[in-house]
Amino acid sequence: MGKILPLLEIRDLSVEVENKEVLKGVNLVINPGEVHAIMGKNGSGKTTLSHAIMGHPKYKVLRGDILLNGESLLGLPPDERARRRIFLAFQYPVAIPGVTVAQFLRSAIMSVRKGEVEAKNVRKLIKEEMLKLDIPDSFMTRFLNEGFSGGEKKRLETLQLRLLQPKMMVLDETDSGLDIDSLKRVSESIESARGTDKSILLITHYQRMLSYVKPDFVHVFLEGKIVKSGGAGLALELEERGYEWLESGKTEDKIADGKAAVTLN
Amino acid sequence: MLDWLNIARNQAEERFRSLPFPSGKDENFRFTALEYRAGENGENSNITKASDLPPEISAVDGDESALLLLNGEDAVCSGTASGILFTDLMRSATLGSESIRPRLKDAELFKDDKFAQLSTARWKNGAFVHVPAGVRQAKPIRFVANAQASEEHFRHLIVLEEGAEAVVIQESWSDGAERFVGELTEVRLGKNSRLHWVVLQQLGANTSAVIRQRLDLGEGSELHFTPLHVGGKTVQTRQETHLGKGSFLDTQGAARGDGLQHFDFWLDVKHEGSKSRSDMDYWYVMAGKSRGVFNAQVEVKKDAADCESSQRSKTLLLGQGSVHSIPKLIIKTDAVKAAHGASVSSVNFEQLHYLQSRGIPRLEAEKMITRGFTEVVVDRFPHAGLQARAEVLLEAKRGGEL
Repeated sequence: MGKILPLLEIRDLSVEVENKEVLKGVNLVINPGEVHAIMGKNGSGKTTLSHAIMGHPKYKVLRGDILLNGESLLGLPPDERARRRIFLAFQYPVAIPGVTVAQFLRSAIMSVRKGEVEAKNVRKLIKEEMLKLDIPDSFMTRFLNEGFSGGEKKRLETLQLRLLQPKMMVLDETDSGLDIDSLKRVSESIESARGTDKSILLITHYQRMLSYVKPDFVHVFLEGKIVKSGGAGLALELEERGYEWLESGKTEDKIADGKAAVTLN
Repeated sequence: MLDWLNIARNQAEERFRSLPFPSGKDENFRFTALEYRAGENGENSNITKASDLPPEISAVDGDESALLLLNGEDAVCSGTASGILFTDLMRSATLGSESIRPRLKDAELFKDDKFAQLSTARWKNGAFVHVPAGVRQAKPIRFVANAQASEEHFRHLIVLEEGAEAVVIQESWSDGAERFVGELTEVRLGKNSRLHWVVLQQLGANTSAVIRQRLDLGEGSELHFTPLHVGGKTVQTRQETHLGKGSFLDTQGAARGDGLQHFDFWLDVKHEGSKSRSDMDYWYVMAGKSRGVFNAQVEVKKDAADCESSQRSKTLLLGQGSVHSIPKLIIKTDAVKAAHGASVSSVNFEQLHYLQSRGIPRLEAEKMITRGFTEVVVDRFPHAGLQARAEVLLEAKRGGEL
């Protein structure tokens, strides 16, 4: 048996945003089928990591690498990354007036799943997934995210995740803005998108989503680094104790060089 | 020449000369400077044949029933529009059509408007559409006003009698030479009639145009109005609408500018009958240094109870484009639902990144965002051929803007 190739590997990643270094040497290995959760205080760099993975032009990689199936993603535009089946569910999806949800979904599906889904079947496919997420038909003619409530935006992100069938899913606070019923429905939908060849990187502040989407590993972000990693129990511990105990000098198991405490491969 | 028409023309010419040129101090010309230099007015035209127009414009589309080409004074009609009168206005005036004479003699029509008086005095020809009571014209009819002289004026009259239905496509076209075009259109809808009126303005890059439109909607009638403006240098459209009891004005209009183009929609909607409705959306995509003006006023008269009105302008700015949006409401009765609004946005990296993150290549993402602002309008065009032509015109304006 050969060594399993990680689906996503982040090597010593440092990222700058608007001339400020936000990520300072992040290391993370995600194997196929695994769910990793990243937790941390506001401003700790969690969202920066998600944007760096997706290739946002404002996020400049200073050092390190991001590899998908062993190949570097650096230098690839976001659309190419998406076609390689990386999906980022945005924390704050932007509104695009004039572009309807229907036009957008059709273009996205035909771009990402080219040769896999026939144009004539796209509408049916969208309808089926909308039904599962209890999204009304009226969504289709609305302009993308314009006037959407927080919950509606998150449901639309989840719909896209279902339709584009990514291998590597990065979910940036998908649980925020959702009421309990919506959280359950969205979480179940994400959970059902898991597979032996599909992985999830779930960024969240709270334990509540992790009750539905069970993580294999939990990592804590602090000042642009992973300072602690553990199993699902770590999320419960964080819920109980907060983050202060992980801050400088308060814990013995803080990782000085920013490497994850758990060897994942 | 008809004596009564000559008298009407002379009166209009006198009014034109006596009225002052509008200046930047006039509320409705604050953002639009119209330059007028007297031209040759239809003489020495270079294009006289329909075949000189692009073939896609000069031939009847398979989804249309009839086409009228107006080349200056000349008019060529092809196809048939059964049950309706579809011809050039001068011919109908000469033949003495009953519904025409009072309209062409109407001294009250835009009597305060210098440019409307100019067109009233100097129009050479135009389209006349008359749909008798109860007649329903399924296939669209289309007319093209082709401006050939340095100064050219057209006058159009569209009349639907009680219960009539029709789809009318109006196109304005000119070549790249310097031209001044005046266009005066009257639309009169009888009780419970229904008109879909599509305007495709594709004037040449050096044409300035002053468009005046007077719309009278009778009881229970509906006007679905779909204008798309892509051409011209400075184009001002003044539209005055009178809404009778239970009538409905539904507008989805768009302007797509680049370079130094200037589009001014000056709208004045008067709810005169109870339970009348107006719903207007104007979409602007302004690239280069182009400018847009949305100067819209809705007035609900004292006796017009239970009316509903909504007016919105939505603008996408590209490059150094700009827009002035001035929506106004004058409500003189209590029971009214009225709303107005204006939004201005620009394509930003976040929008592009979002679309790209879903696998859509950057160039396609840019096009999606700009296309989205005109697609609502193009989608309403009544047949695929016209939609395709509009897309070609819009496509020619895309690229290198972001």
